[in-house]
Formats: sequence, structure tokens, C-alpha cells
Amino acid sequence: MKGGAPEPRESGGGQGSRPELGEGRLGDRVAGGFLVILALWVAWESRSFVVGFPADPVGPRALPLFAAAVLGGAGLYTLFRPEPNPLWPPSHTVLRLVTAVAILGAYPLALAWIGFVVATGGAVTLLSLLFQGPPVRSALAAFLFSGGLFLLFVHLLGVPLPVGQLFIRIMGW
Amino acid sequence: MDAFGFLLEGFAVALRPFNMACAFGGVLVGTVVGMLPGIGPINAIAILLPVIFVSGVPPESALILLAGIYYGSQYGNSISTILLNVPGTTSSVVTAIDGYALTRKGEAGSALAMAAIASFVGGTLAIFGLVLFAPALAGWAIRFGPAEYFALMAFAFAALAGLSGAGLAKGLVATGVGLLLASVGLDPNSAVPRFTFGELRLFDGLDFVVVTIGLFAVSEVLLLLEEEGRETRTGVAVRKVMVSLQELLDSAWSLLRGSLVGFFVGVLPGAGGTIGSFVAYALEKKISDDRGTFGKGDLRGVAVPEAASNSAATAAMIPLLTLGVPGSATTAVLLGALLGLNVTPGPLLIQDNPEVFWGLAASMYLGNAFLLLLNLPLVRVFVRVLSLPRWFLIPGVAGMSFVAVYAVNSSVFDLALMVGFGVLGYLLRKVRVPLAPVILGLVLGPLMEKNLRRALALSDGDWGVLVSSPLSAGIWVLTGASLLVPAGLALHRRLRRM
Amino acid sequence: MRVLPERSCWVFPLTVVLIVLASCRPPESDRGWECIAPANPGGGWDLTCRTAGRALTDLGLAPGMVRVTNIPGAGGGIAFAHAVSQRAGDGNVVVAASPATVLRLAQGQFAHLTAEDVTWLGAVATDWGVVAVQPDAPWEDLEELLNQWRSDPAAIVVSGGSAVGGQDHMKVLLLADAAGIEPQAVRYVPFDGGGEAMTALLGGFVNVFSGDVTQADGQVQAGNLRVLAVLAPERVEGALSSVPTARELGYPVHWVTWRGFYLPPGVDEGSYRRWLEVLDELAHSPEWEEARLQARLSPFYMAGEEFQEFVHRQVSEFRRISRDLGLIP
Repeated sequence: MKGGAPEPRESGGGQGSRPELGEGRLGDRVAGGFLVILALWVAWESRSFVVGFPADPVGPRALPLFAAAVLGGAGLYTLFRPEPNPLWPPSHTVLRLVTAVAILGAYPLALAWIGFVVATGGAVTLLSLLFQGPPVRSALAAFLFSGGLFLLFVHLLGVPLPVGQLFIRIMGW
Repeated sequence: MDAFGFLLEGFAVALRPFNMACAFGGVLVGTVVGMLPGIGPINAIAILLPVIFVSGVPPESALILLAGIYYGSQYGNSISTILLNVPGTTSSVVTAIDGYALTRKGEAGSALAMAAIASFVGGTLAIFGLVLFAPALAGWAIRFGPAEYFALMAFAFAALAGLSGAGLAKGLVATGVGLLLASVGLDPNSAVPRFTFGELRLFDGLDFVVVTIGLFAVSEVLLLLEEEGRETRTGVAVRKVMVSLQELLDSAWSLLRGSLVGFFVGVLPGAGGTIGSFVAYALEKKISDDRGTFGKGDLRGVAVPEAASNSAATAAMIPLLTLGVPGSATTAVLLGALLGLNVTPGPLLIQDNPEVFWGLAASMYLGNAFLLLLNLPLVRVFVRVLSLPRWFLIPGVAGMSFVAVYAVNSSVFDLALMVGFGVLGYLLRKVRVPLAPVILGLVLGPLMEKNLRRALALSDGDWGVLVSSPLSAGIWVLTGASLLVPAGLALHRRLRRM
Repeated sequence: MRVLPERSCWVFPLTVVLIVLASCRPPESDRGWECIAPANPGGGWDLTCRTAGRALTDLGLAPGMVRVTNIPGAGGGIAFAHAVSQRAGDGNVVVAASPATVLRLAQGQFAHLTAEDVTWLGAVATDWGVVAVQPDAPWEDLEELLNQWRSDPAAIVVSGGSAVGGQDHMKVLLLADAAGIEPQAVRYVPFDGGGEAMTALLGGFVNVFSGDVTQADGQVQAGNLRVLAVLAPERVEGALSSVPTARELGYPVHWVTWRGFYLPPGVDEGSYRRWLEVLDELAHSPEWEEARLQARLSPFYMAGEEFQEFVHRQVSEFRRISRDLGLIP
């Protein structure tokens, strides 16, 4: 762990580039190859987009075919002129990432059943733990936060958020 | 028909205490709601509309309230865009590029301040344009047919070259992904399902809020989690909270150009802040990016899209008010609001209800002023958000993202999609594919397709129609120039070196 | 930076639990009637739900406020699927509908669902279709337009706010059918909504605009549009009262852009009767008259068995025309 005062980020741009580079160029080649296959698949699927109607000379195929052309072209270029690999994370970090995705993915599944407050509170707590937050405080903050959001959206703004079938069954709401 | 006289009357309406309160309240509420990551102006208005209907406020005041919310939420949106890299609307996507880069450099305060000032300048200039030129512009905007729109979209498409930073190929990958995502759903012209796999919930295509929040916010969560595993990445101390006079002067021309581009693009029904901000940014980058700082945290990279999108947002009122044609999704919601308030926009609005039109124009100016006055001092406060501990802030953003996406369509399916896009966004960013062109493809694709097909349907299959009018031919020439001139200059430089 | 102070170990968990419990309570308006709008706030269906809901409450016909829920998506398909699969038997909910819903059902756009899957309740107001041209167009009346259309169909281009096969397209197809013009020969160019379609006419990009009375009357009053015919059985009130109906001119084509409701399947007889009575009272009340006039809609009332049959007839007719056009197999 590096100690010392916080340092300003290397400004690699707002969106894409964390400029750490790794070894080899396999990443781009794989990506390029994938894109070419995707483009071919899109073009293939577009065969069935026809309209039995004369007034539309271009038809519903236009956009997918254009997308396929752009993807395919860019994919080919990336395949043959790959850039160096990014720094892929080590396995324990991958585990964390997968866990995060699992939490995020489980959220929509659980939402209708356990309701907004519990689902969001739970998800945020778990994510906080992944970010090395102190357990008790994470849970408190998470549930306060989701409770507050519920109040704000449902009662103040009138946006319906699911209360949870479980609670409806138990409490007879 | 003394426009100035009417405008004064409009100010008289706007300056009534109740209406001032409405303007201020609207701006405040709009900013707060818009600040919630992922809640952009459309959602904010859609959410607050029923509340307004029920409150029984008179039409002019309700309109003033709505306009305040409109502006407020546009600005509030830039707050979460700049601080957290979560654009809530497509027109902020461009702001995120330099805005978030500035935050990472510790200059979030100046970025926020510049955004506020740029919004004010853009909005004010547009209001002058609205007041002085509204009827004439409406007449001009009608002449823009499908062929002309197609040419304009092609021009905007060429602008993507300015968004890719390094690596045109990766930029094209991004655009291709965006175009593909845009094809999902029922074809709007002929209702043929494309890539829907029989799923009813995909018939309307992919909602840009779902895509944007997934691609930006969720991927950011994953990326930050990845960094967590590495060495310390402690929070960046915010060093600057205001824009210096020098920086303002440096950006003056950018502000002007951005506002102009945004205004003219915004007047066209169907094109709005998004196209406006993309085009303005790309144009500005070509004109004034001498030191290659655009994309890495240049204040002008925030000034231009903010001025453009705010200017376009105001200009979009012109087709709405004078023709009754909504210029963008947001104005479509406003149209519904107007109809619900029994104000029928259209050519008769200015004649029959002049107090509505001029009162609205005047209060839009007030709203803009309030925005600036309210938000500049608050930049200090907004920036405190960044000093929340990471273990709360980042999962909090994730939590907010869930609400934002759910609030759009109350669809759990959308939430699942959002997570999927988050993973996609993470992968794209790892291989250094920029995200902004994805949104450009997503937005431009359907527009280009729609207009191309319409133009050909109108001309009965004659492709010549695309360049037949002076307007469309002119735009194609511009497009060609914008592509060829830089390439030509580069070639020229290389030849001189030999 | 610490979010919470270290002490007060037991106060904070307690507070949190209390807040959680308090906020978990659903908002009060959960018993009472519900109107589902298959679109976002601000759209036509949403307006139908809100205006009707308000009137029902004001008239005391509804127990309390009528809750409006927005379930947009798939042009009404998501709400339809929701009603069929998740609200079957629920006697407290109606869903807003219009011919757009029926047309999509006829064309099979809601996956495997059909118009028989729900109970059609009734319609309480309507808009009528119109055919309009520019003020300085060469045709004096509908007959002249149709004559040219018959002899040179490729010369006439129609704009409308719906997609190919949608309401605005259907209007001209029905008219063409009655006038002896080949449906395949009709050149229809879809736009995003009536506003854009009208702009296309005003800009001279098309010759004819197919839309509704409420879309056209503003422009007619401003002198920018000339309506050749209203697709209604009788003349309408308001700005277009001097426009002849297509029937008068010899072409008995109506386009009823009704605003109405359907119920989920499996609603018990008692609730169904109750809804019919409520709708009847609503449609004939002065409050509804006022709301209808404000929305510039025309009077129309059809409910119960008659309405169900009407809808099914519409489905067959739309299906026939769509097949003739090659829109559906």
C-alpha cells in the first residue's frame, strides 16, 4: 500500500483509458475477432427483416447492416493492428468483481420479493463491504440511505417502488 | 406587434412574486432531483408533472414552474455527470469527458462552476434568439426535410472522429456497438421486430437511460472496485472551487460558438441537446484544441457542451411553442404538460395567449439567472459529495442507479439489462474503447435511418434527393470538408517534413 | 471521515430500524380503483386515465382517489400482458385504450395475445379522423383529390403520425378502399407523431396529411391547413364544423379514434355490471362534458356488449386490410 498524501490521478481521459499497459496483444485480437463474428451474425439475422410493402426502398435492414459494416470494419482493424493488452486484474480482484456483478444481478431478482428498502439496503451494504467499509457502519448507512430514497421517491415524488411481496404476505398490507 | 413591448409585459408577468417563487422553486427542485445520478430532465419532469397537475396552479405559473424544473434538472444533471461520471441524459455524455477528467485532477469545483456559467450563457443567448427570431426560425425549420436531416446527421456522425481521442478504430468500434444497440426493437417505420428474440419488453428498443447508466455508472463501480484491489487510491483533494477570470476569458469564444451551434441545432425539431453538444464539442476541438488538452480535463471541454445543450434546450421551445411540434423527448413531455394545462401550442399561441409565450420567455431568462445565482455559491457544497468515504459513495451511486433506472419504466427487466451493460462497459473501457461514441451511435443511428428511409419514400426511391436541395448539399460539403481538411493538413505537414 | 459518531451504539440501530419500518409502509392509496395508462405521463392514454379518474372522484362514483399507474411499453402491449397475466379477476382496475390498441392486436403485435383476452368495457369520448391538404393545394374538395389519386396514385404522398399499418395509414387505406384505389398504390410516409407529419405537409414535402381533428384544428384556425373531409358520420362541432364528412361526399368511411377502457379477463359479473353503471353515469355527467370540451374531443358513448362486438368487428376489418396490404401474412 502506498502511503503519503493523496495524489492527483493521471489524467488519462474521462472515459476509457486507465493507461496501465500489460504484456502481449491477445486482448485486442480476441476482441477484434469477436467483433467480426458479431458483425457477420448481425448481417445474417438481417436477412429476415423485410417488409411486404413497396414504399420503403431501403427497409428495416438498413441500420443493422450499417452497424454490421462499422463493427466488422473496426473489428478487422483491431484484429490486425492490436494495441497492447490492458492490465487485467489478478484473481482475487476478479473474484471481487464477479461478486459485485452477482450482487448487482441478484438485485432485480430479489426486488419484487423483499421490497426496495431491504433489497437496496442489502445490496449497498454488501457492496460497501467489498469496498472495505466497516461492517456495522456500512449496514447502517446503507439502510438509512435506502429508507431515505424510498421516502423521497414514493412519498414525495410519487414514483412507485416495490414494497415487497414478502412483507405484504406477512403484514397483510 | 412590438416584440420588445410584449417582452416587457412578459417580464411583468414573470416578476410577480408568486411567479418568481415558482421560478425559484422550480429551479431548486429541478436541481435537486436532477442531481440524483441518472435522473435527467425528462424523468424529473415526468415525475413532477402529476404533482403539478394536482396542485391546481394557474397555467402561466405552472409553465414557469416547469421551465424552472427543466433548467434546474439540466444543471443538476451536470453535477452528477461531472462529479460521478453518471450522465443522466444523453446531452451530458459529452460533458462527462472533460468534466470527470477534471474531477480526477482535483478541479471538480472549476468544472462545476464553468458548467453553471456556460449553461447561463448558452441559455441567455438562446433566449435572445428565441425572442428576436422565433417566428422566422419556425419558418426556416419547416424547410428542413428528411434529406436535410440526414445530411445533418451525417455531419454529426463525422463529428465522432473528434470524440475518439486516440484510436479512430476503437472509436468506430464504439459507434458500431451503439448502432447495433439502436437497432434492437420494433422498426419504427414498419413495426418489424429486430433482435427482440420474441421479448415484448424489447419491442420499444433499449432505453438510453438504461444503457447510459449501465455503461457509465455501473462500469465505473466495477472499475473502482478493481482499483481497490491495487495500491491506495485515496480520494482526490479538491483544489479549486471557482473559475478564474483568466480561464473565463480563455473560454469566451468557445462559449459563444457552443451556444450558437446548440441554438441552431436545437431549433430543428427532432435534433436537440444531444446532437448539439456532440457537434459543438467536435467542432470546438477541431478549431481550438491546439495543445491536445481536450479530453484530458480542459475547462473548455465542459464549457462548450454545457452551453450548447442548454442553448439547444431553450431553442427546442421554438418549434414547440410556434408549431406545436416537440423538438425533443423532453419537449414532448412539456407538450403533454401544456395540453394538460389547456394551453394549445401552435401558431396561435403567440396571438391568443401572448402572456403565456412572453411570460414564459421572460421567466426562462429569470430561471437561468436563478440557476447561476443559486448554484455558483453551492459549488462548494456539491463538491463535498466527493469527500464522502468511498465505501459509501460508490455503492451509493450503485443504489441510486437502481432507482434511476427503475423510475423510468418500473421494469425489473431494465435493471437486469443495466447490469449487463455495466459488464459490457467495464470490458469496453478495459480495452480502451471510448464510451461517448456508443451513445452517439445509439442516438444517431435511428435518426439517420428514419430520415434516410423517409427521404427515399418521399422521392419514390430516387437517391438523388439526398443532395438535391441547396441546404442538404451545403451540409454535405461541410461534412466532406470537416473530414478532408484535417487529413489534408496532416498530409501537407508530413510532405513538408520530407 | 466518519459518517456516524462512535458512541450511541444502540440509538442508531434503533433509529434505523424504525425508519426502515416506517418507510416500508406502502402509500395509503392502495385500496380503491386504479386506472392503468399504457404510456408515459403526458400522453393520450395517461390523460384519459387522469381526466376520467378525476371526474369519477368528483362525482363520488369512485371510493376515494383513482390511482393512475403508468405501464408503458410495446405500444400498450406490456400493460396488456400485465392485465391478462397478473390482474385477471381484479375488479378494481381498468386500462385505458384506443383504436391503436385494437389495431396492434389485429396485427398480432402483442405476441400471442388477442383482443379476446380482455373484456372491452366501453368508450366515453372520441376524436375523428381527418384528411387535410395545404391551403393553396390544387384540389377544391375531396372528390377532386380522389379523382387525381385514382388516375395517378404515384403522384400523391400522404404523411401521418403512425407507423406503416398504424391508425393514420389505416384511415387513408379505408378511404382508398371506398374510392376504388388500390391499397398497395397508396404512398404513405410515416412520421413520429402528428406534429411532425403536419410539419411535413406545411413544408411541402407531402401532399396530404392524415390525422385527427384535435391535431388539425389549431392549424386550421391559423389558416395553415385545409381539411377536405372529416371521417365521421356527422359533422363535428368546433373549428371544423364547416368541413363536410366523407359520408356526405359519398364515401361512408369513419375513423373513430375512441378513448375507452378494457377490463382484465375473469372479472366477476357483479363488478362488470358495476363498471358499466359507473361508466354510463360518468359519460352522461356535466363534469365529463366539461372535461371532454376542454380536451376538444367529440361526444361518443358505447359500452357493454355493443362495444365488445364493435371492437371485434374492428379487429376483423383491420386484419383483412393488413393482409391485403401484405403487412401480416
